[in-house]
Amino acid sequence: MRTFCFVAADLVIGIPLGLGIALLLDKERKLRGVIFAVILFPYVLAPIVNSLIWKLIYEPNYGLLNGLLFQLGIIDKYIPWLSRPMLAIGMLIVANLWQGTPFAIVLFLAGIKSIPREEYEAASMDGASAIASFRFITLPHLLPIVYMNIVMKTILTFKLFDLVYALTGGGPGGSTTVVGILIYQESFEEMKFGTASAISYILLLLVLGLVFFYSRVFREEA
Amino acid sequence: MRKRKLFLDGIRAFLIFGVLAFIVVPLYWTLKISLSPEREIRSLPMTWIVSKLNFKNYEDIALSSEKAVGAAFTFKRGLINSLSISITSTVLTVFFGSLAAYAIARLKVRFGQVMTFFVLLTQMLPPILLVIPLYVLGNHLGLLNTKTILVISYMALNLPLSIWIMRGVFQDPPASIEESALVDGCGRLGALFRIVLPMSGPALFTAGLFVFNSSWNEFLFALVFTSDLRAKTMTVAMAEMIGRFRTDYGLMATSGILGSILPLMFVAFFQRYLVSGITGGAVKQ
Repeated sequence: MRTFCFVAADLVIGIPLGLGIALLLDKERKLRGVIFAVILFPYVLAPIVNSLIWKLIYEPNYGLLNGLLFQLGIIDKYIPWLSRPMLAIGMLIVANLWQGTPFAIVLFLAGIKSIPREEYEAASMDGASAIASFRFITLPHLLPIVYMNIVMKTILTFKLFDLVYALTGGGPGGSTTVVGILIYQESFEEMKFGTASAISYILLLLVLGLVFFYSRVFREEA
Repeated sequence: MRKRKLFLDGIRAFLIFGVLAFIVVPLYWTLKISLSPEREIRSLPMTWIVSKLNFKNYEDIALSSEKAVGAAFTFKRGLINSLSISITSTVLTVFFGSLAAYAIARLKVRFGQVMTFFVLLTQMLPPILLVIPLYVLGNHLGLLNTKTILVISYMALNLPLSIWIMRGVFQDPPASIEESALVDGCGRLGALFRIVLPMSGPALFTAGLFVFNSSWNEFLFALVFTSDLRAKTMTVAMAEMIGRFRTDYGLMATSGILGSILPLMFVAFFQRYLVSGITGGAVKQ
């Protein structure tokens, strides 16, 4: 199931990315409000608008990505981004991160804010380096939020549908058929409601299992 | 030491700028295409700025009429449908959500804990799981291709989150005010509507904001349940444009911009509420 590809990418790239950007932003004072608003933009847009935007960027002949890379001299031939299986997956992941990361950033920022300042002061008095105080103060405090993000991201990625539907429709050659697309195709295109329901049930059990597993991990941590 | 700090600040500014560019450029590109003349969209080499502003796409959508049913008119109707569906489901969801949240927060309901857990559980299920049963139900009830079924399903989708947001706030104020009202002969509903709700304005607003935005943006249910102009929403009209064999990129970009105005305004004006909804909905466990 292709979904796992997306879940894995989302977790491995999305969470460190969200944490990194949150750390960057936390230091910012002057323009914080404006920057924060911009960061929230992708979050509030419709997923279908997200796909529309990226469709215009990945467009093989007149799209922004090809044009940009060509102008910079990185490529000498236009690339059909969504027509090759592996490439299409990568491109979808980028588009998905564009919309999904702000959520992680907001959670991390809230988490960073709640860390008591005195701990940093004490650490710097004891001569701890920036890296050490990140490793021993920031990270442990943020661990619950990391778990939270893992749970939310996994669940959200299982919900992934709109983006794939509009950008690749599951193709090329089924390479981007995530589970949501699969259920949709089985039920409303092939009219095999039985098969679709069966897949739905497996998905339901999977999600329940994950939620149960995560909540166990949570409780042990807390 | 000062030099080093300056250097670090420079790197930080550069990184922040990169992040912002990554977010803004795609939006800018869409806006640019929506304002470019058709000829310019399909010309090489690619240009970054519009040479001559062109509002034809916006006019096409605004002036489209029933006489020539095309993508532009479908989208216009979709916008209107989306607006009415979103407003209705927001009002209803916040109303019923406040009742449920109050009951969970204040009344000793039997199995209250279990119910709260199930409310959250529904939030976690992928909506695609609900589509098939709802489709079959809607078919039996003759509700397919109506706005009603969309309003009902959006209520179902969004009640959990809004209950969750409001429950947290209803628990906060001291129960003594309510109790004195109850002693003075005010019923439970009276206490809710006269005392608790007026005190929880921001929470109601946050919940409403989230319900509206998610109904406005919803695609899957709208795709499956609607088939013509009577109930098709903006997102479905947009997806049809994206999927066209010969795509009118200008019109497509324009629809994307028009469909994003409301959500972007929410961010611009109500950022605080959105953030409190995200963190409150997720962090408060």
